[in-house]
Amino acid sequence: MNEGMYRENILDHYKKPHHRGKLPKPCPQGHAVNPFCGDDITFYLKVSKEKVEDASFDGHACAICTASASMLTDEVMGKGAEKARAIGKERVLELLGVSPGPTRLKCALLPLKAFKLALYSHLKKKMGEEEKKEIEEAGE
Amino acid sequence: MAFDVDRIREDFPILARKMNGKQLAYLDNAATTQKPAAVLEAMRSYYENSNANAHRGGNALAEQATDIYENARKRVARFIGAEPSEIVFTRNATEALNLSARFCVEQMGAKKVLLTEMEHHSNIVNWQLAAKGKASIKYVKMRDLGGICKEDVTGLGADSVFSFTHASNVLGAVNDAALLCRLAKKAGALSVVDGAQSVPHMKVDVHKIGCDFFAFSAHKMLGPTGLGVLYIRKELAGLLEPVFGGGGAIKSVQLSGTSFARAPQKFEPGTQDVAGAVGLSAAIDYLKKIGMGAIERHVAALRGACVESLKEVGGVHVYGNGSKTGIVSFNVGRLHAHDIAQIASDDGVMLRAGHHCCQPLMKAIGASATARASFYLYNTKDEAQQLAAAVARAKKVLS
Repeated sequence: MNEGMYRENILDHYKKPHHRGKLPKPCPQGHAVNPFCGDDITFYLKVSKEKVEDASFDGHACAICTASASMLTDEVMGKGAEKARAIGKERVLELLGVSPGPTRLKCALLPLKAFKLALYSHLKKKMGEEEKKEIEEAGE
Repeated sequence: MAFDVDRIREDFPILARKMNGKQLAYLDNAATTQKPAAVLEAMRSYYENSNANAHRGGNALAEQATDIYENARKRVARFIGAEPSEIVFTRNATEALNLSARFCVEQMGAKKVLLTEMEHHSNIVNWQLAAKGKASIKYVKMRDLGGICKEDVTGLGADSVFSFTHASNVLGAVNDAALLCRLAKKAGALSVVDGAQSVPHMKVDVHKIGCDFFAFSAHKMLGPTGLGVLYIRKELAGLLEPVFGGGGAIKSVQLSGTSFARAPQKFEPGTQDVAGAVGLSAAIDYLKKIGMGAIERHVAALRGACVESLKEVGGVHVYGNGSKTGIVSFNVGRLHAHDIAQIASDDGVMLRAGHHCCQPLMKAIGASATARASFYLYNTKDEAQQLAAAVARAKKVLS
């Protein structure tokens, strides 16, 4: 059987996502939508003393996108803001353990975009051009 | 001739291939269709034996190419009940619809554009572009998923154009084009029909429909990509001016201005896609040989079988009940259409997932995305079964 992209780790995160739900307001949030398929992810953060103390996500998305969001909440938890900021496309694909084609790549990267938007709304900084370019393709 | 799907499949080389080690089940025909060997051979033969620049040159080969091109136009015209001078070759149905919008708004002074919420983006965005600052746009809503009701077509007048899809690429619903065009005509309005999903599946007669413009694509009816058709009713074709200018479309060019050739040549500047027209002509011959009625019956039976076997899987919601054009749009519980299509693809079944270039329609049916299977003459009940098995596996994997 060709397992394709639906490997055990992805399915585990999809079926039982970690940190799904909202964090108490007010908190930094990032919202990203893939207009092609309607994937819709909001990322919530709690940052104090420049450290990510809590992270969660909510929304409606496909398995790849949901798993990516779930893994990303684990990944950023407890990291310093600067370290969390350095997480990019490569790391997300490493976590997923698959190399999706161009269409599904958008699904995989949409949570990263939502996370970065949340983080930058906290940092009150503008995203660097390189960083922007990397997640721009993920959606609106 | 009896409809023999096994025999038909032999004519399509691609259908024998495997995907991921599984037998290919190509169920994305509403997006584009596969090409029979006869179409590929006709195009190859044109390039090998008769290639020259049609409507130019005055050499014997160019005349042969011109004959071949114009014969293709005649066959296309006959296929949809038009006269050859009413057939303009374009790049695709989208270009044909863009031209229609510009003709109606820029040249015929349409101030009110009436569309429907069933439209493909190619029959919305073209009007939004053409109407900017010149005309207003309104949309007819659907009462159910069966198509547009004539009672809901209101507000048409002598300064209006009504543009609508003949058959929906998401729901398979078929609009009564003749009835809707009569409404437009009665009000003195222009009418434009998007036939991209209807011409491949049913006998279409544009004169009986009574539309002013009618657009469709070669690649959705066994022909090549890169060629579309725009029918322009001859009374209008004579009056309209070309949107694009260039060589081949003119009578004479002076530094002070140009007088244009007659329709349809005036709408076809530049070197034309002769091989594409040859391919479309061969595709039409192929469809006629099988018979449009037989194709319609085969496709309707497949759709029925597909819906039945999806029902057996359980938890599958099928949108709409139009069976003529072989479209089955569906969702499985709360699973995402992308996941369904991806797992089906792993099992060799090619579906489409997403909004199908119909975001307003998706909003109306309350889904952000659907998975869609679309059948054509070479598909089989076994493939419908293969789809159902893939959907059942997707359900198992994802829940």
